[in-house]
Amino acid sequence: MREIQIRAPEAAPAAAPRAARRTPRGRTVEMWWAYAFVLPAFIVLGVFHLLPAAASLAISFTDWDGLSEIHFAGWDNYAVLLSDDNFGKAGLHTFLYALAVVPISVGLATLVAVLLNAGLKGQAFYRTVYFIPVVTMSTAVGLIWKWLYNSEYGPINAALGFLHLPQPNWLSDSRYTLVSIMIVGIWAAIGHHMIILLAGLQGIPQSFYEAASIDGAGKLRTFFRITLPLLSPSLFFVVTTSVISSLQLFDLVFVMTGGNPALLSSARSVVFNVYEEGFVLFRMGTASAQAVVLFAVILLLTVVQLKLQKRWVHY
Amino acid sequence: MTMNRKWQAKAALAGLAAALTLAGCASNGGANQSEEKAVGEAKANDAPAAAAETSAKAEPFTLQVAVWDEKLKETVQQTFEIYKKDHPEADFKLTVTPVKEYYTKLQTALIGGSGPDLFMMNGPNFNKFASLKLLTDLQPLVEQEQLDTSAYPEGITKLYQYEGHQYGLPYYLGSIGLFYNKALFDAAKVPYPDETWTWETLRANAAKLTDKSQSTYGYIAANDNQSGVYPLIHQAGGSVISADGKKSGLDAPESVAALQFMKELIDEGVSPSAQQQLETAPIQLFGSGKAAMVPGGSYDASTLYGMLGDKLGVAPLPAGKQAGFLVHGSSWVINAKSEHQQEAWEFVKVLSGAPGAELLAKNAINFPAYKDAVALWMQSIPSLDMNAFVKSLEHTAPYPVSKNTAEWQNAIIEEITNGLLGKQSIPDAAAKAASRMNDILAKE
Repeated sequence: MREIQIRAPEAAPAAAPRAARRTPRGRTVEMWWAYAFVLPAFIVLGVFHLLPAAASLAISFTDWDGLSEIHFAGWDNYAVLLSDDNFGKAGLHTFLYALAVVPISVGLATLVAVLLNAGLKGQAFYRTVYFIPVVTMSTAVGLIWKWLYNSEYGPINAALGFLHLPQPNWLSDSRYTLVSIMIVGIWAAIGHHMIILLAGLQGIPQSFYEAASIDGAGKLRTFFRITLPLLSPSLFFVVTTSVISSLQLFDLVFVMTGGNPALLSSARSVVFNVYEEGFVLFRMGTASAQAVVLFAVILLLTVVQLKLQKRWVHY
Repeated sequence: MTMNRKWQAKAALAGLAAALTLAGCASNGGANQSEEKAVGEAKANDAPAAAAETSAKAEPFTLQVAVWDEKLKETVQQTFEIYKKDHPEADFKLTVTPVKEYYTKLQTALIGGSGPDLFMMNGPNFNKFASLKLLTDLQPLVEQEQLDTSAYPEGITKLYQYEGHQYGLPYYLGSIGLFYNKALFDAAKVPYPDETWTWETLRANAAKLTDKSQSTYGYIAANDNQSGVYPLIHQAGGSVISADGKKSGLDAPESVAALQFMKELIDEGVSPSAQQQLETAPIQLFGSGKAAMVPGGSYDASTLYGMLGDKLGVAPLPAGKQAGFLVHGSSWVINAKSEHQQEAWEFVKVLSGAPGAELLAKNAINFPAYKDAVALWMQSIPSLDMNAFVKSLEHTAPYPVSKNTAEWQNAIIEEITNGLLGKQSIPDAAAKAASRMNDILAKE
């Protein structure tokens, strides 16, 4: 992100006559004003994000059950995670989910954005349609899809049956549970990505395309040589945020498995585990340890992406 | 949690109002309580003389009440109106949370020192809440007022005792019966089920009632602890938990036989598969006419009547080696940290006593735990003879609970579901469920 610099002349045009007075003291006063304006946002961030994050880091080294006395537990909670079957499963599912959802949703969103940008008829209509899932509550999304997926009464299998195709038990067959959730995840993410990519596309000057066509470049070549490189800053943003949000998968798992333990064993995610450990079983220590591990992994992945971006993102 | 925030908001508003109206003298009004008292006095002064007489200690207060069943909303509201006659200063706020999140939310709130003043409680969660000291011990109140607990079935009263003390007053109980669809029976020319039915009669008739061309099933071997699995285990002569509550009974041959019976009915195609049940709940399948019989609770009666109308009938569950089921009931309990202990207790007595039970019965919600109201409940759905629910109560055993019931129940559901799905053999499923349950019990 770019840093915002506040300079005296821009800050207060009314105070122009005094602009000459650039004493160190004047600067400090302005600094304090800047802090004062940032403060409300910082308090909200601090109270609702930073403090709880710090608290869960602290709790992860204790055996707190939410009620009784707190005892220091050292690295015990982390050691438990190594042999925790559920946590291993959850890690695997979350990793697979991100691995499938990020590339496919970004790929499809790019395709949709390019098509919409090409001046398709009814562009506004399609843009709205693709964006609807983004503004819909994920619980509602999960419930509707649960019905769509119903193997006997759901429209998906009705359509498949009409075409004489196999009709899988989407959610209740453990081989497909996670895949079914991935499909919904992809569907729901496309709209969000598309809007950002569309904005990126519209920022590409037309002159590049004119030059390319004069040079005789075909459509595919133009896409790979002009569109993609110039879209890379938007793509980078979309990929990074998408990795983070996929690793935080929770609502869809919660809603679509209906909390049934048999279905969960093939679909539980890390954040679901944190929820279950902390707020169903009230083992705050291990729950916090899991959250801290997830945080570390997300941080690491994001740092790696920031490093790698130098190789493929063109500003 | 939202409820608590709302409560706080209300308290804050009340405080603000007090600060405004009494701006002159409220300059040192710090504590919320004193401000609320101030509002109360202000109101009492304005109120007509008649009301002022009764309000010697009439500070307005709000009782926060929580339940998990949407159906109860109106009944609890009506019961509150009765309570309000003696407590005109009372206000009340009911929160309904779906059962899946009910206990999670409640426990989080109670541990945080907030939450509703009184709420409904079930057997699987009671011991945990009581052992965490989140509930008010009602024993002194029961003794002091010589409350007659024999007005309720003994088993249900006992379910809400912790270390010999009463913590909850029973509200309703879940009697289990065999619901059947008369239209499907008539079409297949099979006589309606009655108390002479056994597992074998059930199996033979379920086959006759199954019509694969219409994809209707004769019976649903419901993969549900309370109405499906536990009753069969009991009928086979098995148990879910040992009498001392220390060991699982799921790996006993009788319990395995019960699960095997379910699996056979599924494999024979007379019952929908475990997979189908995961997607559409048994009661839903039966209610939409997809099955001729389903085991279900007295709490399902009004829902099913709404779906099937006059076609609905109910009989006692077919007997195996013995008849009956493990009976469960729910109760009202009080938040140990509630600021309105006495008021909450008064309301609990109305809810669980004759007035509350009669409303519960009249509205056809569920089998009232208050014995004298049962007759009224039986007439609540005119076309449905619910006698079976009452008669079956003679053959019941207590519902299986320990401190961490909810935790081992989850283990049981997972292993049995995987067994019924065919992912593991039934004996394996029973053995795994038992060993996981024993591990959890060992830690209690």
